[in-house]
Amino acid sequence: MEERLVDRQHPDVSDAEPEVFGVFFDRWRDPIRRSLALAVGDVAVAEEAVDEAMARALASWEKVGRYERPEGWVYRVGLNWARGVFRKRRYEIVSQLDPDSNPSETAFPDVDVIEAVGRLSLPLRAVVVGRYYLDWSTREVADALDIPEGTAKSRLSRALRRLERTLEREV
Amino acid sequence: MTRLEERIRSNLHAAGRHLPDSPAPQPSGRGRLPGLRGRWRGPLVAAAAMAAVLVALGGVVLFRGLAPDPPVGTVEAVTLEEFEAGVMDAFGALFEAPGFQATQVKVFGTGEVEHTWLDYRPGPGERSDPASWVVFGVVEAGNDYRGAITVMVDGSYYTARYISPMTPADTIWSENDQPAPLLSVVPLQVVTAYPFDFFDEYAYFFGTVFDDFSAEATRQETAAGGTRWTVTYSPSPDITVTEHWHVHPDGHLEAHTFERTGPELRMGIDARHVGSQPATARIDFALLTDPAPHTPPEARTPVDPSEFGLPSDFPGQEGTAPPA
Repeated sequence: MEERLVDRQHPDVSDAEPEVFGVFFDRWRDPIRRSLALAVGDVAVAEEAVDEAMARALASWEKVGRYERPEGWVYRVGLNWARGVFRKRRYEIVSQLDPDSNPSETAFPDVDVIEAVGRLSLPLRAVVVGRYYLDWSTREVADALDIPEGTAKSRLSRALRRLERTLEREV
Repeated sequence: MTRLEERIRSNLHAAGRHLPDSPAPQPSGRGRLPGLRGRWRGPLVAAAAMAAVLVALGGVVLFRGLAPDPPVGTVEAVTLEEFEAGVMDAFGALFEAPGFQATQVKVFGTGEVEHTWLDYRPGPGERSDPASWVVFGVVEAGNDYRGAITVMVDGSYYTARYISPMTPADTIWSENDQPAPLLSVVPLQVVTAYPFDFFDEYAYFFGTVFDDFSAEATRQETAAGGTRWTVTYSPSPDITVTEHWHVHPDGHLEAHTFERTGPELRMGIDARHVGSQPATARIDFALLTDPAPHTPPEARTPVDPSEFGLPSDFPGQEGTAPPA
């Protein structure tokens, strides 16, 4: 079991002051970019989305920087921005994966699983990626997406049922 | 964590590591941040267009068919986030069903100006794009009459279109690279512009418009145990818009109504349909429990609307006429 991404990459920026935005940016831009790519299925859109969200975070850093988890806010803002752009594009993240990247560190993912995640609706994918890629708790995912925790749990439950059905069908 | 969850988690992590790095090195902080200017343009234009479309509607909703279960409980104020989550989950339930149909009616003054049908029945493995297995029809009644049916099957679009006066040549299927652009001239399109936007247009609308229009939301139980979500907002000081979202006790969306009150407007895609006339809209949804998948229509053959879940008298058939 690998260590939690949050633990590995999340510094103690929860009590961040506005002047440490640079620290927050360096720590969270890449994991959120990758999360958005997995959620929306497009690396280029994710790239723009995270920059857009980070720019908005900077613009409001005096307020956002005092949030308990500003990275959750950036994830949500990035998703909201990306879904406007993403409306007319298909989920094609598998074709954008690079088999040669990190070859010694990890096996290439099971394409069936990633494609099954891609078949979920964006609201469900956003919860799944937050929970299983960013390794946030459902409470943290709910906070990030600004939805009630019960909604996050029901979306996660629904997503898992659909993933189970899809993956069973493809066995 | 279950085995399924472990499997999803490990593969998402593997996928995340195999994503390409950012094209540029990541210097820290502000120097790398992009300007906001260009990014806002697309979303804002889309939002403004949708807002213009929506505020052009108004008047009293004219219900067709069965009215949704009436609300009986007390009206409870909710946050916009709760409202959005409730409605989006109801949408999600629709899209998780084996299929569903939707009918939309828009009315100006005393006459219907547009009917839209949507028939969604994804095949196995096709849920990633709501365009799959969608049948989409729209009819505009009035002085000029335009209509179209779009079918998307396996990534290919098939379109039959009608422009008054109808001719037999207009009523055959043709295969296209894109959804029928003809739809772009139909007034007051919200969900009707492109079938694959059906879900995301709503999702996007929530996050973009309501926040800016001083929206307030409420929730009310219905007699059968469902929920009616209501949002009221003011796109301008003299205009009030009220939308109701009726959620079936099973959790899926069953109706969406739209009402607008306010002064005369001169906004809209088609100027013939804006002004002082009252206008309304309503969409009804019905689940399909075991829908047979659609098959692609054969190009250059006559249209048979009934094959695609559309009303048998859907205009385009010889001898049929637009709705009065």
